[in-house]
Amino acid sequence: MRRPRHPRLIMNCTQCEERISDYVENALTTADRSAIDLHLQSCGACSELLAGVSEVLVWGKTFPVYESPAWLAPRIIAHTPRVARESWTDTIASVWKWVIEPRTAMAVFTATLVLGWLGGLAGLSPNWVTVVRNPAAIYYGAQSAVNRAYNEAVRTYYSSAVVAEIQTRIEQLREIS
Amino acid sequence: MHTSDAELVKGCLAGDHVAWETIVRQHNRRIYNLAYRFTGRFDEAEDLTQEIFLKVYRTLNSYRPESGALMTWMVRVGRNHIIDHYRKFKTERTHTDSLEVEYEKAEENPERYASPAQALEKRELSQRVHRALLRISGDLREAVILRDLEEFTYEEIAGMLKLPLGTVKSRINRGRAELARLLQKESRG
Repeated sequence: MRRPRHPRLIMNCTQCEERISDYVENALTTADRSAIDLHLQSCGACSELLAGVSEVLVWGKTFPVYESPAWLAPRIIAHTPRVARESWTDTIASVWKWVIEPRTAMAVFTATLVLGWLGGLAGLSPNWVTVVRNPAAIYYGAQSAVNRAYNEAVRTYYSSAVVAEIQTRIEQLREIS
Repeated sequence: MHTSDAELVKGCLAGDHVAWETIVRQHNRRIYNLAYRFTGRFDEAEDLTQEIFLKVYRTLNSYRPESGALMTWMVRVGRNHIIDHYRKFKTERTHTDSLEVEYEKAEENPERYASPAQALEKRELSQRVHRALLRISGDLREAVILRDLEEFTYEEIAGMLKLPLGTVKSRINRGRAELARLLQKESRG
């Protein structure tokens, strides 16, 4: 079957609408332009669409420029802060604003819960009555927990098979030498 | 005496309030019109103009005179602010200021219009399209305004909206077509 020589000459409404802006802005190839011209001759709906789009473009070009109210500039000037750049107090204020944001507070709360739960799993369970009576107990409690964990790690290290093997080898080497 | 943009900005950054006043007085009309074109409401345009100027003041140290005129930079800041504002309050507004409100404003504020009757006649025409504009979706409206009212190129709009060029072209085309249909519907009553 022979292909038509100018396939774009057969244009439907959808294709015409897709190119309507390019048509009014003269951004089409001659072939595409001719195809649209041909379609417009026989399509009332697309001709109306073209008229409407052209009206929109004219509207854009003739849109009135309004005077701003006389009081606007003084109001802007009166509301402008005296410092152009952010000072350290502005920085602190913005950090504080961030801290008290509900999202941040929720994140801190969730992190506390998760850490508490992990601590519970690891056997770190604070005695709340003691904590309330003596807040320093938190520090001492944490210190003893760290000491316990350190001692446990050292014990595990020295009792592991690998370390024992290495020590044995070192002893043997010493004996040989 | 003519003061360059660079000198004005330098003055502002050094705390010279007169320099800032000069910038505000020179450019508030342009920013006001930019805001009005997006919102179709004078009261909203007034508030947005003030917000944009405060934003400009806070970020003035990021302006580079070698990269273009202060006005161009301010329009960019303003446009981004308006687009953010649009996206933040995605409520679909379907009306502009009514002609009655406009007439009252014209009577109260004669210096704003050379001839109130003449200005309103002109405005009635533009209002038809602007009303239709506020009825199309935010994405299409944004693209049409940037292209047809602000006269940015397709490439510039793609850069501003961080969208592929093809998407921008398609949005503008669809926006214009929807506007054309709404106008036809309105004129048929």
